[in-house]
Amino acid sequence: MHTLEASGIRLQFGGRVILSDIYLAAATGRITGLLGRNGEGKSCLMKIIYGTLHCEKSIQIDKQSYDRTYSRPGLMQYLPQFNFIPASLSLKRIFKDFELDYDLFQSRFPEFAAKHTAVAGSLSGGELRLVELYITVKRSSKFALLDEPFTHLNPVQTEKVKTFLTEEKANKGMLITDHLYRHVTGICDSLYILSAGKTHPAKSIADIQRLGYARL
Amino acid sequence: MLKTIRLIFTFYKGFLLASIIITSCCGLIFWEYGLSVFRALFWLKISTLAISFYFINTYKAREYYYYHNLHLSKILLWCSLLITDFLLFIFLIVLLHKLQ
Repeated sequence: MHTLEASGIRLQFGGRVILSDIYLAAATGRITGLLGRNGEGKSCLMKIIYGTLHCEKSIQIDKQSYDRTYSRPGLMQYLPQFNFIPASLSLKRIFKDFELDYDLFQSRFPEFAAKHTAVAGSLSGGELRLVELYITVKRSSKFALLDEPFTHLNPVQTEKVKTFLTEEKANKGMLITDHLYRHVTGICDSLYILSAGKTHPAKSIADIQRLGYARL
Repeated sequence: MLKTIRLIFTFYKGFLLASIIITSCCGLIFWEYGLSVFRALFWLKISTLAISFYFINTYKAREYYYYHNLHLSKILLWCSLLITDFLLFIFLIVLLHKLQ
């Protein structure tokens, strides 16, 4: 089992403190949810853990510190909230780059059966999101950071993705944030609320309201 | 290694057409006027590389995450691209000079 701990993070932009008192833990076999209002710094926190946003921090995987986790093969994959695959690449090429089996993908998502040679730019928003999510989670790594994985997905795809993530957590630890919070709370094993630059462990669903994220 | 080269070339492709046009123009001017314009062409090439860097960083920044997820850093991508592109420019100028 692998563990991820993020702490001692201090991020500020132009004198405004965004993140100041962070403690977050994730582990293999667990999905960790992260909820917070817009502008609270959820995406920044993920980028800090991934290593593309630099600030004062302590990121430890299996008790070993890392600065840029993305640069070490097998450590961390990140799904940003925006589309990141170059539009000109075909699905065949993408799966080759990520060393994944396309047949397994199309057996899980049959709508992609005839799209092996299609380029990313020709896919719909939901299809592209599904491909991005799949390659991020399936690629061999200890952890996956998923920023708004349910964006653009239709209800059927969303349910399939929730099943997929629940199965895949046996292979890696996952940190998920999404404003469709009922989907997040439905699959996560532990939950943090990010509020006023600090992480608050949510022990129950009622904590989501108490910490000001949503009205239940 | 081959995979890394393939990924760097994919990144380079987004920049290739502009690079070919600029390098070809520089070659034509050098062919016409010779060594006397080399300094100007050198700085023209450097300036266009800087402009390309700015545009790709502005409009294609999201694609960096594709390469990051395959463990390639922005520094590696840009150093490889700039060095390759500049060496091609120098190679073309030397070749034209020899032919003259």
